[in-house]
Amino acid sequence: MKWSWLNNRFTITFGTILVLVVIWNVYISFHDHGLIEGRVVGPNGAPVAGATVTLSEQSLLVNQERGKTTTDLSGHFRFTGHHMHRPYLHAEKEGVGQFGPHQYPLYFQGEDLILKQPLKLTAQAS
Amino acid sequence: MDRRRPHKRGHWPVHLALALISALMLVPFYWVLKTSLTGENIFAYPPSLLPHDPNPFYFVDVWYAIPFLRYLINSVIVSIMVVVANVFLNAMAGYALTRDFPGKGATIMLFLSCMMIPFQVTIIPAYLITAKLHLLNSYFGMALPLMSTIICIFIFKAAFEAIPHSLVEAARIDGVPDWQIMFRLIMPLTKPAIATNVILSFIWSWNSFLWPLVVVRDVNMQTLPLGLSRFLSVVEDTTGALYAFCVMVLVPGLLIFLLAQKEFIKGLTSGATKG
Amino acid sequence: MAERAVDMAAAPLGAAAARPTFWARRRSRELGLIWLFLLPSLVIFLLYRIIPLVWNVVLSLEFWSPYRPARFAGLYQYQNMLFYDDAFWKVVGNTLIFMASAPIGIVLALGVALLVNQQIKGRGVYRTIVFMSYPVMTVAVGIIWQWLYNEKVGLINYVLISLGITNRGIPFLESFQWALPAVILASLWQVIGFYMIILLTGLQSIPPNLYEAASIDGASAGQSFWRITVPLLKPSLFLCFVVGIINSFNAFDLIFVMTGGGPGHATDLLVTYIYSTAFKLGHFDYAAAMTVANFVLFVGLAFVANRLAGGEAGAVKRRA
Repeated sequence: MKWSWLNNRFTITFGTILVLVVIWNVYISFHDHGLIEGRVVGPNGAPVAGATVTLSEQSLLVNQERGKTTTDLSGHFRFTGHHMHRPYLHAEKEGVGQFGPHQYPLYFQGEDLILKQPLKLTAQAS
Repeated sequence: MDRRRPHKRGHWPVHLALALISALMLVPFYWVLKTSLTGENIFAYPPSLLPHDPNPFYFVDVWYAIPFLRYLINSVIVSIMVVVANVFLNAMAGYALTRDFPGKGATIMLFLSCMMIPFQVTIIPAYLITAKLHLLNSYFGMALPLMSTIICIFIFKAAFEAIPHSLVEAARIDGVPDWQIMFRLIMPLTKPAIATNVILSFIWSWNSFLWPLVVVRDVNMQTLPLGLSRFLSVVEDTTGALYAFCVMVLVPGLLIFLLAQKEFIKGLTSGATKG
Repeated sequence: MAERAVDMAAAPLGAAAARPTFWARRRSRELGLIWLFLLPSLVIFLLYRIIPLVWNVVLSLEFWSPYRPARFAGLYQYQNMLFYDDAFWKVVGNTLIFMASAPIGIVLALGVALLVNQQIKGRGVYRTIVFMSYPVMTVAVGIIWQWLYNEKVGLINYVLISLGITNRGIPFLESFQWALPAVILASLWQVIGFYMIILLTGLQSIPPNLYEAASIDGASAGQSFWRITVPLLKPSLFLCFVVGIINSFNAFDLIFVMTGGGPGHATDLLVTYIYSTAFKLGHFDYAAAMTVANFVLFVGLAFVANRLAGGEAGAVKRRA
């Protein structure tokens, strides 16, 4: 039968792997804008406007800032176009507190990340 | 021929022993897998037995820390070259060894003594020869020394000898030329030996570390095991990512074995009984 | 068998002297084909095994240095090696111990193979699990086991302490007596699956009616094991031994990662000592002499093993 080779376990295994790889790459191509969106809240849970949020890349060799922005009136902030797979976020507002730097590991470089938990500033006793 | 004696009751000691042995064999695997998922510091004491806080991000780290895809492709290309060449060359040599010819004994002694030469002592002359052949830094140069292995030649030889000779004689009387006898009659019957050869040569070439290290200077041509050493110099937290790397290198070899194990074992049958 | 048919084809060479050219042509054509088939493999072995060996032999008879042209040295290097180098003998001893551990591994594997050979469910799973250690890269095996043996945080010491066998961790890889057994254990872990599969296939090819006949004749399990199983397994045992030799070359990677030669040559095998002499000390000529010694040693071992296994493995079959 001409189609019996499809049933071969080699074909099934490698075929499945190939299909999964293709699907994964398609998914990546739709989601890799390097987007990070989140909110900053204060110690009481209220959104903080005007906090400075820094995006950086930290590793043994590199400690580099890759972006800086401030939160808008509702405490939201947004980065685009980064190419890291382990971004670090650091937020602070004078007089309110700071947060981080905290890492957010991603599945692939530049994965779009919409933070569910807000960055909560805590007052530092220093 | 019927070995099915009623064995319903006395089996559990065997199961127990086998389960124990399997557990012992699997402990290192489990440890590697666990550490690759949790990335805990290997110097933490006491070592925890169960993974806490597993995350797959170490695999992502490995992927980006070195040009993993490039190395993977290099390893795949070299391994495919080795496997294909191995099957052809070993089959041919094995077939030739089943015929009687002057100098056969000497040739067999030659092959056997080649097995006794460890690879590590040949690297300098091998490097010089490869350089003379202008094969440094090339896929072919990496694959060449591995393209034939003596153990597989003998497995093929035994497999060929196990083929009933009447078949070959009938074909020969019918006037089928030797080439066709070889490829259309004998090879399909020796599929198990081919599978054994494929698995063994794949494992040996996939894991080969010293030879690519010597032969390849160009960073883009390196294979996965070499990527390991480059990787160790780049990554900070060596444990989670290192073990993730080990897992990733291990998976293809395991996969090939799992797919072809039935034939692999059958292939060893004819080899084991005939020596 | 194959030889008979060729004999039959060649017999007319003598008998039908009236048509010598046809058969002679056919025979020489066949010879040509045979050598053609052997040629690629032979070329590879020539290039990458034989020529290096010859290179080593030549180098071992010289004084070699990167600054001066080589001078003929006669047997100086060998004298040096045999009479003035204690490390050499220690290393040879280590190698012999390592090779002697192969039978232990084979016996263990035989036990496992016997277990797996029983008609139980899921034996394929057990078989796969035991073999799984072989496809692992030897460097990775070294890394894993090095951690397992760690004096302070290794799992093995953890288990030993928990079971109360010892009070403080044993520094396996740093102690003079434990280092070599530790490395041997790691190497055995890797290869035992391969041994087991070879022995399993050997076991499965023993016709069961032999056992039935033996039990009818009143033989005990032990007797049928020693008188039937073991002799019929001899080719498999020899194949295991060959695999053991090949695996001892892999031990190079293991030792390099785990101990780098061990506390003062305790885990140095001949191959690793050769490597460090050549590449760390630059004494390529002396290393070449040891390479030749290594080769001779292994050939001798293989010869002995071949005799013990019945002497037919791979040798030219003598037709009476």
